[in-house]
Amino acid sequence: MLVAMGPGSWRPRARQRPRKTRAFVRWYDVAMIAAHRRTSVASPSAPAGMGASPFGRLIAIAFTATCELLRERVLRVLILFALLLIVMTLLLGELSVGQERRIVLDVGLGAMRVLGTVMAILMGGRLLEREIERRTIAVLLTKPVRRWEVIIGKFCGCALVLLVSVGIMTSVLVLILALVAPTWATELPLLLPVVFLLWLQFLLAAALAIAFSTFSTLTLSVIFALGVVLIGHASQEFLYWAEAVRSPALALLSRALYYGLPNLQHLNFTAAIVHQQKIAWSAIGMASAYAAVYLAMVLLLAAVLFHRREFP
Amino acid sequence: MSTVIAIENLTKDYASGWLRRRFHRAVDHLTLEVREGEIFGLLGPNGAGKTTTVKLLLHLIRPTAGRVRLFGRSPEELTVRAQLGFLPEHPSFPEALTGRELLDYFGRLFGLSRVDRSARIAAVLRQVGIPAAVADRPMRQLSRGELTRIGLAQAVLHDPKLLILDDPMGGLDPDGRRQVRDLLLRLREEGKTIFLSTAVVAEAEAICDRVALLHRGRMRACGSPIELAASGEGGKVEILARDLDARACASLRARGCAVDADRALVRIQAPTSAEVGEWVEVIRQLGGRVIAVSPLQSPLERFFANALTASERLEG
Repeated sequence: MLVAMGPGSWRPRARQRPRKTRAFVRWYDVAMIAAHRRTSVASPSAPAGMGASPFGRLIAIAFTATCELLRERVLRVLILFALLLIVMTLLLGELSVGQERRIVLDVGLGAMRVLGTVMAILMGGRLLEREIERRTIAVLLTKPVRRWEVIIGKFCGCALVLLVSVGIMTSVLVLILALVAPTWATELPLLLPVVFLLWLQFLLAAALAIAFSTFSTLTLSVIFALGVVLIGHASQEFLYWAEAVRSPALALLSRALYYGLPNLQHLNFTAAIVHQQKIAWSAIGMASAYAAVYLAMVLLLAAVLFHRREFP
Repeated sequence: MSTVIAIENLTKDYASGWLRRRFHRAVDHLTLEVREGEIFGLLGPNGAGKTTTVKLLLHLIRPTAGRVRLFGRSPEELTVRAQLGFLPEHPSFPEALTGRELLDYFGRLFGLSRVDRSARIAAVLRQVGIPAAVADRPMRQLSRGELTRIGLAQAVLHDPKLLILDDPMGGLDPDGRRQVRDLLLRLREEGKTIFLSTAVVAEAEAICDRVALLHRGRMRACGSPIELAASGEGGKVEILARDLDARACASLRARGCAVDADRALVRIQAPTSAEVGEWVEVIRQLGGRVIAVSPLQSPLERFFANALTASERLEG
């Protein structure tokens, strides 16, 4: 497309070997080819000179965001710290005779939740805010990309890094579990959905941080997002307050906060797995749908706020 | 020749204060056109509104009034953005990426295939004078001049029809400036339209087909450098001479020249460039030898200085 636009003086020679050799670049190209094929079937009359397809642009933004995040020292330190905490559960298990399995799962999943949330908020907040603060966003927004694509692309990059982090932490947790509980293999079908819902919680935290970073500084974005997540874990309290307070205005406010803020307890099944209770697939499905709807709403809000923003 | 950039009555007010009720007008009813294939220079002192105009052109900020059209369309449209390249005033890019990775990323946004990206990146890096070793270093390790070159490389990567450059020579060494000048002239030969903003008149004079002077958000003059320079002749000149003794220097001072004698060399600031020949003749008669004659202010600089003084006097 662009070759036709230009004078053709830079058309590559035949059989020229590309310089880049990293494996993930090859994977990126496989995805790009798939995106191009999909676009050519879906919209054969797309105007010339539009740049990449929307899917291709999203992949490019997500891929670059992933590369940037993987080079973050803070992220590596947090993952290492989480792994250290998970390994420490082995020692705690030794102290509680007969309760090793319960301690490993309880403390291990707790460490994953706390450090994963911190990681998600820091990553989400930094990704966009840093581009705005250093004004690197100006160049990106003059390329043929829509502003919502920047938000969604960066979120996807963040989601991928969180998935890798959760995967690493879960692997170590399973390894520790295998050392203390001979029945670890039977725990896996229970553990994986719980970890999946934990990942959804992290995505929600990252999306909130991205939304806040569209209009505020990194520090404020982190504080706001952390505040919403903490309230989200205790939002059931708002319902109790609504019933307990005498003032109708306060009751209304409490109800509004309960329904407006995410209830992260809907996504928390740690207690069930620790106590070896069976979790119904329908409950996991409902929790996933709840997280997906909330995620879509937060990302839509972030896209609207980012669209309205000026970059003087 | 068709119009590539059309700006009509463009106005931008920035709100300030707690209640956002105070306004500062950065651009004031600016109207101008840039034609296809020309290099257009937007000149003006710091705070004149050049960068605000550039950001309005790119839709990074919205105008308070007036409108901008690029290729007859809104700058918001993706088809328009696919045909323009932009270099910001202070180039800054994601620090974790290398120059090559940044170019690869932007190449993907333009839908270039892997092979095309690779070939094009090598070509633009060569054009802007970035060695492969520098292109493979993280951006946080690059100097301002190297970042400007990477910025230029990303601006021309997709072979755009229009280049919008905000201070393209900023932070470059003399050799870098020459390379950029040559690159811009070559791009004009290829039929590209270039809109650049700068505070350095000599740069614009050297390469621009037309220039506009902006001061306090308003356009004070617009035309070709030759046209404008014609009305700005008569600036001071500097004459470098040798073999002038103390008496000759005193004689030149008595005629109204600022004379700065340093060993055998004498630096003379003649009052006007109009009588350069006469001054050279006087120096010869006093037994001196002229080595170089250079204007302290080019005619265009002189014209702009006069225009700015006039506009300041007019506005009090």
